[in-house]
Amino acid sequence: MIITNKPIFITIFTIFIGCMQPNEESVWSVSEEGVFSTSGFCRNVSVINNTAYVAAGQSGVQVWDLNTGVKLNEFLGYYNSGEYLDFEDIAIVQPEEVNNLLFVNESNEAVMVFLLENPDQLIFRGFIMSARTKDFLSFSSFDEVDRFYMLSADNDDGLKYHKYKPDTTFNPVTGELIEWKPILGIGGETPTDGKALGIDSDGVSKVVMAVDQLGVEIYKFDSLGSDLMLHSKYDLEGNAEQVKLTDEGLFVSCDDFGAYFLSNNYIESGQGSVVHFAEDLTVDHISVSGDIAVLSIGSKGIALYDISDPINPEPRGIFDIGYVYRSKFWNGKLLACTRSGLKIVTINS
Amino acid sequence: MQHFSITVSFLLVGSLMANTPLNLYISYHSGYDSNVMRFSLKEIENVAENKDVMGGANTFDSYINKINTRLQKTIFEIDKKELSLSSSFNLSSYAHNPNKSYWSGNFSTVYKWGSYRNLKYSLRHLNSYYLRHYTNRDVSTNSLRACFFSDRNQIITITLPIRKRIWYTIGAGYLQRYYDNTFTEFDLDIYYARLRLNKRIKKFGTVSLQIDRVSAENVTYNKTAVSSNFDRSYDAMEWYIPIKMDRSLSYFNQAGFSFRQEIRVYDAEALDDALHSGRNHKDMKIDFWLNKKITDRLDITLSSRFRKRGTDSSYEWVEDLKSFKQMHLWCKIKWAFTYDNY
Repeated sequence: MIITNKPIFITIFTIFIGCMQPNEESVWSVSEEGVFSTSGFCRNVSVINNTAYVAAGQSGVQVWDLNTGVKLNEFLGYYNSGEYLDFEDIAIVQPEEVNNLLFVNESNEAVMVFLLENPDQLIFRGFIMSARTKDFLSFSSFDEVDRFYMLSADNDDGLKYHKYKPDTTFNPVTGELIEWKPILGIGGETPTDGKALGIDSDGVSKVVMAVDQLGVEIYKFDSLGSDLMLHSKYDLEGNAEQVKLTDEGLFVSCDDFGAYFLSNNYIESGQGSVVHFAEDLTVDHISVSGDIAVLSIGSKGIALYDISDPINPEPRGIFDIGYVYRSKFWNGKLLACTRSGLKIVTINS
Repeated sequence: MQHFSITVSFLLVGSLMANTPLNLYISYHSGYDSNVMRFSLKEIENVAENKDVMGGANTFDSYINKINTRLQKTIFEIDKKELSLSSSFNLSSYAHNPNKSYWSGNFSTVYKWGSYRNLKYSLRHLNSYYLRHYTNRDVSTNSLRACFFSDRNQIITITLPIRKRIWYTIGAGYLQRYYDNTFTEFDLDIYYARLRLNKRIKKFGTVSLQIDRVSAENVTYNKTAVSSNFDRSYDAMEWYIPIKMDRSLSYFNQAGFSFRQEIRVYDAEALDDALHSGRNHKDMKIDFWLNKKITDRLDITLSSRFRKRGTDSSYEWVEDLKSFKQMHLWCKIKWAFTYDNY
């Protein structure tokens, strides 16, 4: 009886433990929480609190409440000197809170300034920077009312940096300010050999600019903060399109040649690490939050990388969420600018 | 892998404690595989354009060395009732393609209660079997990585007689085919039902017909990154006809021929999944073998296998990519030993 029980026990035991567990893949997962249909391509987004300002290409400028998913406003054009003008193809929209301004850039054009005092109406306040502006950044001046700074990557002029103040000229009919002018003596124009495409800054000491075939250029503010000096430049493979500064260093999207990470040491002294990753992907833009880097790779969607050690970015999967131009983090979620609208995506890392 | 080792250990301990002889078989196989990585003709023509697909190998074919050990023990035998356990362990080494070397193991238990009456449970493990280098599309568009999978196959069958010299086997099986880390999007749970009819023909041998109905579920469909967006589930029907001749042979003790064909149809219907959508294939294997008993304890088997997979798809490039031919040649020498301490 003993020897009869033993093999039966072995067999039953074997059946119970016979199954195996699948291997776990090191990729993350994403889930699409929703899509805000922007009608046109969603090319860019800026967020203040829970309000998204969307550059919707030929569908103009749109304002969305991210919590409710309700489109608060849509602007397809604006009045200038009494004449209504349609937007052509909006590429970038950035709000400026302190002065209730909205900066709007049509592809390859100068930056338009609008007053957004009344949420239902864009009041044109003139053009700043110049034609062929590819990217720009603005900073409010919190210690001075009615001031803001702007940095732009100008495709033919190079790096532009200005501090703006309102013009004292008043419209005789409405009594309103009609435009913003750069303050003389602060900033200016720094020509570059490359074709400026993207720009980023920590707002304190550094400005970085992607200059297409010539790589990236790093600029430093002078001690007074009134001018920018070229600190260093690094030629990279491919066409440097966009740049993203983080505490650890600089991420560069290089179109057909993937992406680069340049450590702070490298930027400062040329002695640190340069890491080339996602070599076989066409990277248009990189957004970063904590240990996550999101590479926008056009028709293939997004590629996620674990950058807990930025010197060794680890791929965590390509996710086809539509044609993605760029992305931005908001409240722990990802806002993806896609051809089918603004998508809210959760990354499960 | 760990569970499998534990099981085999239990078997060995359990077997050695019963007062019956322990049969041990050791065999050495020397073989040749003409198309180790199952390349299609198109791929063979184009391999010079991207030599990385060879995964470091310099040839499409390879010589193979394989060692197999099998333990078998009858636990009890009372009248016509008999319970036996067996386990085997294989080690395969590909001389010209080191990636392909692997081990596999098997455990089975059979309870017999008369002629052509038995109940059998079998567990087979195939460990990290290399297919070839594939693009890891989850993280890249052209970065090639070695693709391995492991199989855990369990089947329970019952065999009963129909009438004199004719018997049948029915069974149900569960095969888990799980891929290594970078290719888990291919993971399959495969369920199958088996029916086999056997006939013993006087002065000839045995003829059988086996039919497997297979349903494979792609358990990681949509669960990893972009490459899991394709559904690799499929349904299949497999025919297997072995003919063994062991009578009226002058020199050899057995000669055999078998024909096996799998007809597989993929479930995918997505228009953007050209590789799987509407695809089906016929995978045919023809085997010949000759066996000669040299002594009571030593025998030699010569065998060959011709395999051909023909793929049908709406896309010609898919047909070209997924069709291949392969030839195996084997020479096996087997020694049988009995350990009887009682």
